[in-house]
Amino acid sequence: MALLEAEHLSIGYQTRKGLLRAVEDVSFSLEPGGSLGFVGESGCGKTTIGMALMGLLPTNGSIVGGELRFKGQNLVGISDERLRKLRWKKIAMIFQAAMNALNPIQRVGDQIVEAIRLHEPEVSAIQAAERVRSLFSLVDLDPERSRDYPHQFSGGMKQRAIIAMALACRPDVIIADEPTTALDVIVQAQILAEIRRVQKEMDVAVLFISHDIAVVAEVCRHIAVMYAGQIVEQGTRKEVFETPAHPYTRALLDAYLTIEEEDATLPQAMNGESPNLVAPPKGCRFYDRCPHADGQCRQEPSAWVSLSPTHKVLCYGPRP
Amino acid sequence: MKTDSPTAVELVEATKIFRTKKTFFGRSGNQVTALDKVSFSIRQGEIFGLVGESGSGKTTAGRLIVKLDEPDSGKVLVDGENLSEIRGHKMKGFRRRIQMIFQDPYQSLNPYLSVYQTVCEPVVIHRLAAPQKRLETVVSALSQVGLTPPEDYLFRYPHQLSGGQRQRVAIARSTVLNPEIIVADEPTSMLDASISIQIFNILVRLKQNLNATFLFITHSLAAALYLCDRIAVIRKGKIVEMGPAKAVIRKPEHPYTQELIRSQPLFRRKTEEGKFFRPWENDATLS
Repeated sequence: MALLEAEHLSIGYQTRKGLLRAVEDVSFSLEPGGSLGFVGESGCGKTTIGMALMGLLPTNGSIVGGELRFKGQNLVGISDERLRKLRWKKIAMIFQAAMNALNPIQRVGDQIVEAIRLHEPEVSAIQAAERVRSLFSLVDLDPERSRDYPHQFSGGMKQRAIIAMALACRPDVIIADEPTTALDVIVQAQILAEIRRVQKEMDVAVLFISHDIAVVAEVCRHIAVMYAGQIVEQGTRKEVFETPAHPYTRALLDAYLTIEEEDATLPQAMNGESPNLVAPPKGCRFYDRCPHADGQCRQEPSAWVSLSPTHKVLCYGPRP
Repeated sequence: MKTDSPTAVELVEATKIFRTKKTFFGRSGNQVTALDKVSFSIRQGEIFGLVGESGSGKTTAGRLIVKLDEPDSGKVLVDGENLSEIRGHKMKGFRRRIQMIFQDPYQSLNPYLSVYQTVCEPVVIHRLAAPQKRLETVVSALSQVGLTPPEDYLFRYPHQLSGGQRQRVAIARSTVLNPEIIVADEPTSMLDASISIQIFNILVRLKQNLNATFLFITHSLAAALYLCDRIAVIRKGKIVEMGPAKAVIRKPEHPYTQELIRSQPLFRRKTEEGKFFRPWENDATLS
């Protein structure tokens, strides 16, 4: 059985202009110990999915359709009480800005002890502190530093501490929302290596959210490309990055600058911007920006086309 | 760009030290050396890249060139004139010639000013166009940065624009003055990849149209490779390596530059045999 499963999940935000459908009809599944990367640009709904999984949608946001299951249990409409038992104990999250995720006036180690004892009251303070020390070694932090305050840590160290905290209750799945976006490239490389190693050693499933295709290509076995609230392409990383089928996936890959390029001339940008999700277009949401769009794409929403048992694309005219 | 072009901007052993204030209880303030005897020169008409990580001093160098900060020692020369000796009316002329594009278009635009007011303000201050010509000037600046049709954007406010559109407005605000030197401080670090490419293309086009000199400040080696003629790698306030962008990135000499290049994501990188690296070929590293 899949660990985490979404079926036809739709999430909306109530705004003054009406319901903003941030996530529309999204289905995916994550196996125990597996890794799935959501990649897309700002506003595509990837963070909203992560927040929904943690039950942390803002008050104007709600799941407006579909199902979200953890180990077969539907998370939609679940009571706060039961959700609190899952959260952090079973599903942990690494947030975008590690700098702001730690309490500045409490020792880093104590914050992790607090998280452990809140979810596992039977653990004594001494046992919890012992666990913190081993978690610190696991993420390559000096256990002695657990008595430091956050401001004594560098950005990379804070992010390691957050990873340690996410692992504190030995969760089944970690949601990592842009965990390296605020970090410099050298530290980013270290943190990504850390996440890969921890994932393997602890056998924890990871749902990775990033705008950076290079990052998800390095840490995720399966990839879901999102555009304007929908998943538009899904497959193994080899399928998605070697034989991208959706025009948006290809445009994203074209926009990726690498230091290997011989002539290094700027690619032609795809024009325009993502559509307004309060009144999304009737047809394909990528219509305006797509180089292959035709009349049908404008009139009818696109449908899923299977390219392999694991690779599918939301497009009428996917070209190989 | 010709290598014998005259020098447009020069930093000569510029040092900038930031001091924190003494605390109430008399604890003496700390000091941070943001720039430590940094020297480089930018030739007329080139894009010069300053590449470094956060805290390396790259933004401080940009701020010295537009005279938002003064060096503690050393000089900043623009067309051979020492910036710190220019004052008053003459400085106003310099401000027109040297413009800056800031990192965060969510903070660099005044939320109470419409696009027209934002782009028109420098025109009014520098008396660049007669009142009846102002609209025309603004419209042409907006179309140069790809905000078309410009009439659709004139009376919008920043909150009605996306991040990419805001940055275009910020660029139009600085280019409407026809500056000779533009300091672009991480102009796309807040923007998505596809929007960044749009902005980069605009900058390259502007460089050709205005024949301006650019200082491009970035943390991304890849962006520097695509955009810059020459680059300098800066670390902890010191330049560690400088040269043509391609040469520095292909054959880095300083250990720090080498480490920067090693830390670039493996995606679309080449292995030592010259083949493209494919992370999925060793799926065993993933669980």
